[in-house]
Amino acid sequence: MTLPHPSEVAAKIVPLTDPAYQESGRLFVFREDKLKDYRLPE
Amino acid sequence: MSKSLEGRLAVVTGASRGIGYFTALALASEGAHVIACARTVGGLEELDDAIKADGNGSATLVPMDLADMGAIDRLGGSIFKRWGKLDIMVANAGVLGVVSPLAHLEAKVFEQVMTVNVTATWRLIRSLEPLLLQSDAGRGVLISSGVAHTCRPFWGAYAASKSAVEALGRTWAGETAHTPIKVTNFDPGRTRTAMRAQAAPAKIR
Repeated sequence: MTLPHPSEVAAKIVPLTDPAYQESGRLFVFREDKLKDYRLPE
Repeated sequence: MSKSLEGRLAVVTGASRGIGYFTALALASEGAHVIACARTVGGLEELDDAIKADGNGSATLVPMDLADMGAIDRLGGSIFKRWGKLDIMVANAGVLGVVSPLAHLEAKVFEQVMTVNVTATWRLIRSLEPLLLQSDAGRGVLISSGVAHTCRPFWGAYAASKSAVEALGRTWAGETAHTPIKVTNFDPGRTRTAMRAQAAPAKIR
């Protein structure tokens, strides 16, 4: 299996720094190309 | 053509190689001015050359050791004096330590992993949050790892440190929910980096 190059990972970090990006407190999983929620406090 | 991060100021730690290097380069390519922090001066200079060759953003190079908490505090002070604000913080610098059973880890190895991965991330938040609050859209990205969730055997120090990083990110997001700051934890997964080569030399391709 070929592992992704760090430049591919970096390309997914940049949009998370954009002023238009409005999510907070979530986890971005590169391998799934997806933002995930954490369990909220009860 | 205008770039999406034109005029934005970004701190990237661990910027001399791997994910930090390419994140700094990508941010600069979108027009940001990158404050690139790392221990390795040669790597920072290579980054500066690459950013100049790209021709979009620019960089300020800050050779520093993230284990030096005073240096992190001084970084915040210097940014305040020169720019008065910060738009982006990417806390990427990290160390693997040693892949070993927890019971066999040397104390100094465990403590180094916690210092660089956890304490330095908290110290960055403490030093840079006041500057991010001066931005109209402060953004924080904390680089985590899948082992924060899988708690893979023999990766205990690193797994514990990345679990702590995610706890910092989640807590920070909650504390800044009433502000323009947005915080994201980022799990890059297995990547073709020097750290991966250190952890699993036969599997790096």
